[in-house]
Amino acid sequence: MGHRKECIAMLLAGGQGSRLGSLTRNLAKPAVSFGGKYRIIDFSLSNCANSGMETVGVLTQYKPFRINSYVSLGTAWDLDSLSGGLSILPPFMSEEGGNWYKGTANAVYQNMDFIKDHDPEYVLIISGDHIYRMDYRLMLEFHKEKKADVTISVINVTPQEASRFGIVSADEAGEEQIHKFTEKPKVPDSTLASMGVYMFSWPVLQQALEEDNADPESDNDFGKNVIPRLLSQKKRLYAYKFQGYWKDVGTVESYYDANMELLLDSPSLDLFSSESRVYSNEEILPPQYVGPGARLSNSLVSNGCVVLGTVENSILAQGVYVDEGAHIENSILLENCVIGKEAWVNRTIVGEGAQVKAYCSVGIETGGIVHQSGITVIEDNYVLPEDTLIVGGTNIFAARR
Amino acid sequence: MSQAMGLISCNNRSGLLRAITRSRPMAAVPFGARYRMLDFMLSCMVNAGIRKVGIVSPYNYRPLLDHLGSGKEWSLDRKSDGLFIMPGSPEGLRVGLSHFPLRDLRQNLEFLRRGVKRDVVCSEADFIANIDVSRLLAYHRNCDFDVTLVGKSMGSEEETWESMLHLDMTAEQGLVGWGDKKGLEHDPSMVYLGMLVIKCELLDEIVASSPFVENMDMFEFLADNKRHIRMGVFEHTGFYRKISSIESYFRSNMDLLEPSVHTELFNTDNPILTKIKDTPPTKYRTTASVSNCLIASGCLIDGTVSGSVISRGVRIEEGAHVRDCVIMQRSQIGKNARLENVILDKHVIVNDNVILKGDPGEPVVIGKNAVV
Repeated sequence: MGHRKECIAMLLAGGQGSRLGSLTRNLAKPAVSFGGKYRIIDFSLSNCANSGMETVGVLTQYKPFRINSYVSLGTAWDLDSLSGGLSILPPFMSEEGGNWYKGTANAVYQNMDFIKDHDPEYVLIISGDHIYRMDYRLMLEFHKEKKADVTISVINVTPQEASRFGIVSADEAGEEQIHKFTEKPKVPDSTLASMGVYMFSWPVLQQALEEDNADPESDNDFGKNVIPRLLSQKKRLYAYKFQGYWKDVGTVESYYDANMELLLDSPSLDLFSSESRVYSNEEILPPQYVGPGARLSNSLVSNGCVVLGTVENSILAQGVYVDEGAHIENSILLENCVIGKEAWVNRTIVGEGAQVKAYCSVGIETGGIVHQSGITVIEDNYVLPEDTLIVGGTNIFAARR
Repeated sequence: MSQAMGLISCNNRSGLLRAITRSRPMAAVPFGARYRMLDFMLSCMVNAGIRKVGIVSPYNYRPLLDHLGSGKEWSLDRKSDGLFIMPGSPEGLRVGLSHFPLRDLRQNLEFLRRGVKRDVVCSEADFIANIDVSRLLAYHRNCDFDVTLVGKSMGSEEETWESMLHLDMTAEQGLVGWGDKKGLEHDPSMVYLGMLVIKCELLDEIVASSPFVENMDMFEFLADNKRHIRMGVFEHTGFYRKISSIESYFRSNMDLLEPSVHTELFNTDNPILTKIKDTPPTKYRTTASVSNCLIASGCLIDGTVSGSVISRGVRIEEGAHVRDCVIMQRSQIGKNARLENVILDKHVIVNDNVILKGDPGEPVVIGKNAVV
């Protein structure tokens, strides 16, 4: 097994991310494209690499093909190390039969043998659902310094947002010890939101998971069950106040906004910064070609794109084709999608490999009641026929048999 | 598994591209916004399923090895076969009319003999093309040739035509000889492109048994043994540019801006592979105005750019005008600077308001790390 690691990471990448609608109908949320050339999971994996985590278990379940082949051996993030390295951990069979991962805690519970083999002192639980840059080593230091059983990384959110997250209430005296944790409270009593990043001392985690598994009432979820039970047992839980960039991209609106923020003059997530680089498993594609009649303004464009039309305030992922006379604004075009001649696309997320044929108008603003903040989403590989008109805020996807 | 191995000779005479080849061999010269010269032939071989490739390195091999690493990007990071870096002989540098010196192979016979394959695809790394090596190998085997040269019908309008090896062909007999264009009996229309396939056994025999191998060229041996060796020509009909001077380097980069050229050269079935650097997408800001350009990732563009080939991580500030230029990795062009017909090597800093103007036939060349 190689020498013993102080800390290993368990990355939960099995979530469907159903609130992302058409974007996750064919692939798991961590595999969704972000910022042109990245996928959401790149951020957690790059954090692992930049924090010196050499052993990472990636737990997959929902539509795992894309994510499994994308993550592969972890080579793209320098995680294919001799001892430990990256392992993909899907649900499996044993003597007692097999089970799907029932909740976040159950997923880790089912893989306790993996952790036991590595026999670490600490286990970092993270998810592949968030866009953030974080040095987990600093959190581990804090955990050790506080002699904590569990450390939860938290970030300040607005009171309006607070009811979407697990909310942590720490001591009033400004201490960091947690006395209350409520998952998605209707009336939040604090604005410290859990980032879904937990540092456990391994014996504490082991016991907690066994107790959770023995409880038939439990939903086997860290935020809903495991953390509250540990609090009731008077364990030492600490809040690590993270200062930095962290975004939950769980809804179409938040996904869209987080992408668009990258177009600001100095975005809080600076992909161009040379420190803590974000790695990705990119395909080797030719340079982008900008045609003689093209116009590009305030946009991010990736390798392999061909731009012959106009692109404004938009993000183009790898291999996107924008034909002559097409006009793209305030949109996110994912891998290999094709926009036909004279098509007009506004405030739209065009899925991977989707085609918007010539003369279409997508994302028309009507001035009426707008659904989904007026953001239109076109499913992966959907072909929108010539001359189609689509009102803003529509979700376009193929019928399922 | 392919029954061929590849051998790329990078031990060429350096200095042809002046400042650009001062610090690096031709094979490691940046080309086409994100590639190095070597990427083209290496990718052609790999795309044909070849998984054993030897690179004969020149003495100034650092940039070459830096680029190749373990060969991972070309699927050559393997347990069986893979990438082999071999020393070139110090005197191996090609001069004059030599087309395939055998010197470099003498000390690397081990490479041919271990993990034996039927054929060896030998190539130079001083030209740009996307040659279908699968078809080349199929042709070579179907015709049962011992040696197949890759040629192209090329007109004299091609700048490098004069200096290339011309193939003497007849309709009845096929390849009958070669030489410079003056010495040929028949009307020469084909030139040798710098790539050939030879049976492994035969190459081994030539190198091991020739007493004068130190000073011999493969073509001399082939000429002396014409009767016993079955030779043919495979015609490459696509894009081809030999790089032998600053002018041809500059013009060939510009040729990539032609849509038909870049669609052929960068076709998805036979992609040109290169080292990955994990740079973010390129950001065009509100003041940017860009047309007819090939641009790599990780650039920040505020200025006006046209007719240019821009490498990774280049910064072009507001008010700057860049026209018909080749800009290499991480160069920076300051506010209101004006560049026309200029080649900037890597990490060049052009200060605000600086004007650099060259001629299409004679571009201004600024060497690596310079500040102007």
